[in-house]
Amino acid sequence: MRSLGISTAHYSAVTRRFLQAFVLTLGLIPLQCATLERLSLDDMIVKSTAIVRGKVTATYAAPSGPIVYTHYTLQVSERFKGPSQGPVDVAVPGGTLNGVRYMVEGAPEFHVGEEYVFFLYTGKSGLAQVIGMTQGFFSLAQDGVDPTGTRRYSRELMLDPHTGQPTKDETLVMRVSELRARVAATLAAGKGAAK
Amino acid sequence: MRRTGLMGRVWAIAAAALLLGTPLLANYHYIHYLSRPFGNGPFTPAYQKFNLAALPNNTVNVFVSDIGPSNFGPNDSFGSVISQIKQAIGAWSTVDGSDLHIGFGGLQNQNQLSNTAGIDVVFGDVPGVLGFTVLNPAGNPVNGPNGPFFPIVRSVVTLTRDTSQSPGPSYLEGFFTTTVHELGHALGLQHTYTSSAMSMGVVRNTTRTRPLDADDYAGLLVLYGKAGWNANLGSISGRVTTTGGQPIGLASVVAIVPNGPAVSALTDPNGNYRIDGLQPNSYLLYVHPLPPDANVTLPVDGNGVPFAQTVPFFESTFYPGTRDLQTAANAAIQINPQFPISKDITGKDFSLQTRSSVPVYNLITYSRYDSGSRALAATGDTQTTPAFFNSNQAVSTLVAQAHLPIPTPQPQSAALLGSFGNAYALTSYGAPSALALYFQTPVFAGAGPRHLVLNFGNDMYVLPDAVTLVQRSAPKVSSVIPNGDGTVTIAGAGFGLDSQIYFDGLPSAIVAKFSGTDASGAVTVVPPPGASGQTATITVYNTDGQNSMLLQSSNPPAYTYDNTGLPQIAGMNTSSLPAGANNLAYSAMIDMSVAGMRLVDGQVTLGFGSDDVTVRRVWVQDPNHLIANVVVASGAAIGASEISVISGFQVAQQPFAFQTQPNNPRLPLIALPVLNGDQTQQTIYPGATVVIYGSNLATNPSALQLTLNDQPVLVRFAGSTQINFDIPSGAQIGPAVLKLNNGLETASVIVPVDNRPPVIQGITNVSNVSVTAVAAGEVLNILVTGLDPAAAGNPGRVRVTISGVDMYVNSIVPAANGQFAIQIIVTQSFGGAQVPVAVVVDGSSSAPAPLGVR
Repeated sequence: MRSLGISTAHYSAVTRRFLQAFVLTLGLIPLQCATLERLSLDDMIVKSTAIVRGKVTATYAAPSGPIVYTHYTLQVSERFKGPSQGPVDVAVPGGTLNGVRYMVEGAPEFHVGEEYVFFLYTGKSGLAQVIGMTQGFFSLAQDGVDPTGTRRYSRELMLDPHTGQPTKDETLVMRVSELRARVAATLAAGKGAAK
Repeated sequence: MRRTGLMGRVWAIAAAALLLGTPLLANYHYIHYLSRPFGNGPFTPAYQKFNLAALPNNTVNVFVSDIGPSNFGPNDSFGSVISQIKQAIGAWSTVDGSDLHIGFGGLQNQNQLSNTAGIDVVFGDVPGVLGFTVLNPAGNPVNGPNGPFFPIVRSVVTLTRDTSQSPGPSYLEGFFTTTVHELGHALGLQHTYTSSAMSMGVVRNTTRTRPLDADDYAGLLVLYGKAGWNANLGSISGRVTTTGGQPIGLASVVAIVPNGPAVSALTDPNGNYRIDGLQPNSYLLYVHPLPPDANVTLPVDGNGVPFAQTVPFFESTFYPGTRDLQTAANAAIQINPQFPISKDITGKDFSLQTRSSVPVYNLITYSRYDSGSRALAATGDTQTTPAFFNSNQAVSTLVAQAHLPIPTPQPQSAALLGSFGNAYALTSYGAPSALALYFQTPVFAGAGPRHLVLNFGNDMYVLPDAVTLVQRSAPKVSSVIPNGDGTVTIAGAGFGLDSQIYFDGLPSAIVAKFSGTDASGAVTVVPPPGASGQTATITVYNTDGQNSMLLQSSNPPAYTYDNTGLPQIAGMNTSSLPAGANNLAYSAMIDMSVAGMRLVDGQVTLGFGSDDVTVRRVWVQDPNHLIANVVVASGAAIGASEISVISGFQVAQQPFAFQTQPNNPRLPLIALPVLNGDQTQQTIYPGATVVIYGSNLATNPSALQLTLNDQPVLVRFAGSTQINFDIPSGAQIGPAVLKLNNGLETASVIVPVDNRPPVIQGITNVSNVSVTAVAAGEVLNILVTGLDPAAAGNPGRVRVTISGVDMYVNSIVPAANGQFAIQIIVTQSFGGAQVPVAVVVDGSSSAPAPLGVR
């Protein structure tokens, strides 16, 4: 006869073990087409090659190698990181070219006339791309001289960079002034690890 | 005006599709609805998928960018990454009943031009992006046997250029399952919620030993199934509406076997669904809303306008509108396609209350191992997801964590389908989004996936494959010992006869089967060909889904290959080939030598860097020499492309070393394969009359020169589009070079010459007494001569039929006088009639022997 003798101590021990794990995996997000590595805000600050605030003024699609990208032309109003003559053209995989729709589920969409803070990475392709797909931008509200920026949690499958296990993203909300200060502080401190 | 013309074509195609019969409904694909049905009838989907008619040999090739990852995890390499991609391709290419073949084409320049549809794998360097897929369909539909569809022109899978990040290094199972998943998108599949390969990553529960699940098979077969693929499978259909009668589109309806697989479908905008591809079984049926943050690509109309999701949230229930498991079980749906009444079940409708939200979604399940004892233990030090239970342990603990806080009060009950029943205890678990569930293991709990049901009273949540039931602990490697003869002995615990030993992403060949106990055992293997000095990570995979990385990922065992020099292509008989013409490919043989490599038959990929140049078959002549048949498509892009040879982890490449040239109208175009003139025979053998089809073959028959291994053959018929000739009765078994000179030019291809089919010498019963009449159920020995001994060792190559019906082959053993005895069980009666018995090897049949079967 098998015993059901699970004691309170057993429950506690189990709880302890799993709680340790939850320090690393606080929740979850469903997989869409893309698989992402979770980036903390400090990760994004350190790993981006440029951080710019700008308004989208135009959009067009063009191929680069085998992939079609949607390009967003920016009117840059502020540069938090990167060269002063840095990118004004942000490329996002997917788009519509010559009437054909190239689908990339999970790729972010930006709207002409709206303002964002972009965390950009320019790699071997030469294209300035948003890092972490949907992770690497704040949408700015039109609520004053120090607008509120919102980085909505990503909907894609997100893996913890340390454990490889699925983990969750979080929505981040902060004023541009706070974000500016955070970028400056992180770069000054030379931080790189996720926090 | 152009728009009018396009829409006119679209409507014409849609109308033609309706005339072809009722097409399948959607499972979970990228869908266009080109027309609206009358009333509440089902919509007719036009899928995005590859156009089989435009693919050479029905094969879509996957090419990997020659610009591989730039940063590797420990002991990882480009060869290992390639090996995993090749394995992932292999998972999709083994779907029984699919007309689509998926091949690995080798390496490719990232900017290669080709005119044939295909799949590219490239590597991106944007931080935080580990993988995504771009699907590139044609803008206009074409008509196919099952109605209009939008051909995929190219799919591009982007993986990370840094395998030191998750889901890498490439030898981890997560890299493999992620690649399988992305390739599924590339083939035209969206996400499901059944824990299959195409499920969202958080709830996916596939492994290397079970890379695809029933839902994946069904999804692929809906797109690419052979004619009649579902003849022996069933379907369930119905309609999902609100209690007010409003249709619910994009509801997920799932047919699930309590201790087996789940297959799903999404409803169309009228709420209609049909779940296809159901194996005979007893199914529960349930419906659930998509998660709040689901990001599926919505179906679109003929103008590309998406159909909005009008009822996002509603209650989840089992059929018939119940959350009581016993009531649901009483309404289980029997599928048995042998009987029309239980093949295609209709009218399984749901009428549902709407909701403003869902109680829980996207659950992750965890269990823990004690890394010392290897046992699953609630207090263990190593966490794994999805969870495992050991059916030999009296109780098991499962932790389930949700995306949002689980509503209070907690679920009224939590049950595992398939004999487990309700958890005997259920507690909140520190974080508001987590629960700990405690289950007592039933007697004879069995093995395999089990499904979790959380019942909230007025709603529920089902997680298919929440737990995998196993019957022993996870494997763990204790030593890796090279034996000096090229073999390696892997010792450890938790091994069995089912254990497979992987070196990075490739399986090894077992030369000494497992011996020992669960606590201590060993297997001796021949490693796959390795790169010079490569260190490969060793992983033991058991068929129950557990592998040694569950316990040893922080310090996995490894094996270092000898230094063998740089792999390189040493020579090839030609560096250029002409394109085909008039929809016929140009076929040619390639003869290649390599250095610094060990070619192993069956493990070699030869590629020419373009979807327009495909390799039909490779024969390894010796470890440094191969021959192959290559075809260059009609209309192939003219220009240079990359040659690559990959054997195991060894990769030799020559960028831009191959040239596709314009078609030469003087050349004979030989269509492959060369066929046996007897259409009942699938192989070519000495003495057979064979047929070549093509064009420009013998425009002047008197000038025709045809040789096999440089020996003239007897030509029985010669024309421009067909030649019939005899394989000499003394021809050597193996690949032979066929040269055809049409009086203008010569073309050469390889023809595989196989053994003649065996000859039936007699039929005996179990007492070795000759028989001429038997009864159903009897065991017989079919005595044959001329059986290829290699086929005797590989029973999968040998079939025995009675009146064309396959019998059960029990064994194949050597008998007296050089004969083999094939033991069969007569599985059915033929009413006492004299019927033919035949032995079929590789698709070629012996002459029949008569037998009375009552």
